[in-house]
Amino acid sequence: MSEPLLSLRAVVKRFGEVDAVAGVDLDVPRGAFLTLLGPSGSGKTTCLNMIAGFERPDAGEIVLGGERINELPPHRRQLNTVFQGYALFPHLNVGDNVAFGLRMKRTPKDEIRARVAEALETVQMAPMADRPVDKLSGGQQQRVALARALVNRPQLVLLDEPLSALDAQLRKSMQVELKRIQEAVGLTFVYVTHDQEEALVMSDLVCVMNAGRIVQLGPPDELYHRPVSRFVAGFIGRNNFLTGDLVHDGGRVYLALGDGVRLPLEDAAQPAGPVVVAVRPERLAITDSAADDTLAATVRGTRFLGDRVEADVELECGGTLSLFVNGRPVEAAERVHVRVPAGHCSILRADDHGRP
Amino acid sequence: MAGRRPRGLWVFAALALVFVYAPIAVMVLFSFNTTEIAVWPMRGFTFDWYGEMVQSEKIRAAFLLSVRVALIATLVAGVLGTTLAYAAHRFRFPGKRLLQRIVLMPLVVPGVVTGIALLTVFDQIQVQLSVTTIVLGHITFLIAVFFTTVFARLQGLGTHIERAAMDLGASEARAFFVAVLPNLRTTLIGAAVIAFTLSFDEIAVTFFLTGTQNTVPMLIYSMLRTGLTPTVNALATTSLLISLVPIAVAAAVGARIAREGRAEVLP
Ligand SMILES: Nc1ncnc2c1ncn2[C@@H]1O[C@H](COP(=O)(O)OP(=O)(O)O)[C@@H](O)[C@H]1O
Ligand SMILES: [Mg+2]
Repeated sequence: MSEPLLSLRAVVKRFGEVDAVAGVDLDVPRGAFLTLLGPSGSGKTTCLNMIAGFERPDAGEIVLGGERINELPPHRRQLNTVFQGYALFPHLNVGDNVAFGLRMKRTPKDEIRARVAEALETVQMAPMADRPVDKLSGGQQQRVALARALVNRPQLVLLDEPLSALDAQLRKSMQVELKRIQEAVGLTFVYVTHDQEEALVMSDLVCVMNAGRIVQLGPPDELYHRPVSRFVAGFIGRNNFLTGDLVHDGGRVYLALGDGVRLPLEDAAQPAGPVVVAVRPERLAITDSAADDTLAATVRGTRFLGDRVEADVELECGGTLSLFVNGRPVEAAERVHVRVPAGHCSILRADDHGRP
Repeated sequence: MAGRRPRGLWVFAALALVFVYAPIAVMVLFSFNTTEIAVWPMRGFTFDWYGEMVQSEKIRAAFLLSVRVALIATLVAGVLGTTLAYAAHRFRFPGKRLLQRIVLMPLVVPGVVTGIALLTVFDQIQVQLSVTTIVLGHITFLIAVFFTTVFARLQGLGTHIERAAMDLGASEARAFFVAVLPNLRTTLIGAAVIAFTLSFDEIAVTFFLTGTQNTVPMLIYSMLRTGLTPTVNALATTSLLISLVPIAVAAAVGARIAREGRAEVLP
C-alpha cells in the first residue's frame, strides 16, 4: 500500500480531567471512506477537530500528505469539513456559500462560476443557486454544505455526523448518495457517526472508538464477523454472548458452560481461561435432535418481524439467546435444541479492555 | 372575553393614555401658539418660534454639539461593545462572568452616580471638562447597549460559522469580517439607533461632565430658568421628532431581526 494520506500518531487530547482522546494511531489511505464509529463522548469529534486544526493535540503528531500539521492553522490545511448542523453562512445564498472557499483563495471569477456550477451539479442543487440558505430543507442544506467542501478540491473531506439531523428515510438515501459522490470524485473521506448501521453501509474502513481509544479498525465485514472485543461485538449489529471457560481436551477446544455442558469451538490456538463467545442470531438454528454442537433450551417467546420470526430461548445451562426461526414454527414453552456453529463463534477475552 | 365588555378597563386605559400623551400634545400645540405666554385656548397659529429657534446661534451650536457627541459616542461604543461581546462569545478567560456583569452596570446605575464618579476621576487626573469628557461619559453606558444586543445575536449564530470560514481558507481575523460581521448588520443598526437616541436625550451624566458648551437637553434646561417660552416648546418638539425617527427605524429593524430570528429556527 502507498503512503497514507493522513496519519495520527499517538495523539492525545485532554480537557481538564477528561482524556477525550487517549492515544490514537490511525492511517487513512488515499481515496478511502473511513468512518470513526463510537458512542457519544468517545472522542470522535475531538479527533476531527484536531485534524481540521480547531484543537491542538497535547501529544503525538498529525501528518497530512507527508507533512506534520500539528501547528498549522485551520485555514492553511488542505482539507475541508462538512460540519454537524452544516454551518452555512446565513447572509449568503446557495451559490455564494459554495463560492466562499474559492473567493478566500482569490480564484478568478470565471473559474469560480464554473466550479460552483459543477459542484452544485454534483450534489444536484444546480437550480437552487440563487436561493437563500434559510429557505432550504435539511437535506438541501446538507447538499450545499457538501458542495461547499467539494468545490475546493481538497485532499481530504471531514464529515461530522452530517446526516444526524435528517429523518430516517432521507438519511438512508443520503447514505447511498454520499458514497456515490465520494467514489465519483475520488476523494478521501473521514466520516464520524455513532450509528453503526450507517458506518457499515458506507465505509471502506471502520474505526471503532471507545473512551478516547481505537478498539478495532477494519473493513465493515471484518468488524461484523470477527470482532476483537466484547465492546465491538455488542456495538456492531446484534449479538448473543455466552460466558464460560475455554478448555483444551484431546487436541480440541471447548467452551465449558454450566452443568458440565461443553460446546465445541474451532480456534485451537486460544489459551485456556475465562472467555466470552459471541455468536450472531442469524447463525443459530433450531434442531429437533441433540448433537455435539447443540444446546438444550426452552422457548420463552417469539416475535413476528415481517420477513422473519425472532425467538428468545432460555438455555438449560443458564443464559439466553436470540435467534431467527426459519424451519418449522416454534411455540412458547417448547423444548428445543439450538445449534451453535463453531465456525461462527468469536472467542473474546472476558477481561478485554474495549468494554465500556 | 366574548359578551360582556369590561367597561371599567377601557376607561382606565383611556385615562392612562391621556395622562401620557396629553402633556406632549399641549407642548406641541403651544410651540405653534401666537402669544408668548402659554394660555389656553390658543390665539392663532405661527411658525415664528421655529424661525427664532433656527436663527438662534446658541440653539444651533447646542444642536450640532448633541449630534456630534451622539455620533462619536455611538461609533466608539459600537466598536468597543462589539469587540467585548465577541471576546465573551468566542473565548474562555478568567473574569469573563464578571465582565458580562460589570459591562451592564452603567445602564442601571443612576446617571447622577456615573456623572459624579467620572467627574471625580477627571478632577483627580486633572482633565479639563470638554466635549471629550461628555463623549466618554456617554460611552460608558452605550457600550452596554452594544454589548447586550451583539452578544445575544452572536449566541444565536453560534461559533460554527467562524469555524466554517476558517476551514474554507479565512484566517481567524478575516473570518470575523467575512462571516460574522455581515450577520451582525441589522443588530448593529438597531443598537446604533438606540444608542444615538439615548445619547441625544441624555442629561444627568452630561450635567456633570460638560465644559462651557451645552447639548440640546442642557440648553433647554438652562433656558427654563428664564421661564417657559414657546421657543423652548419648539425646541422640545424638534427633539421629540428627532427621537421619533430612530424609534421608527428601530421598529423596522426590530421586525427584520424578528424575521431573521424565526428563519434561523426553521428546519
Ligand atoms: N471543549 C471541550 N471542553 C471540555 N470537554 C470536552 C470538550 N470537547 C469535548 N470534551 C469532552 O471530551 C470527550 C469526547 O468528546 P467528543 O470528542 O465530542 O466525543 P464524540 O464526538 O465521540 O461524541 C467527552 O467526554 C466530552 O465531554
Ligand atoms: Mg461528536
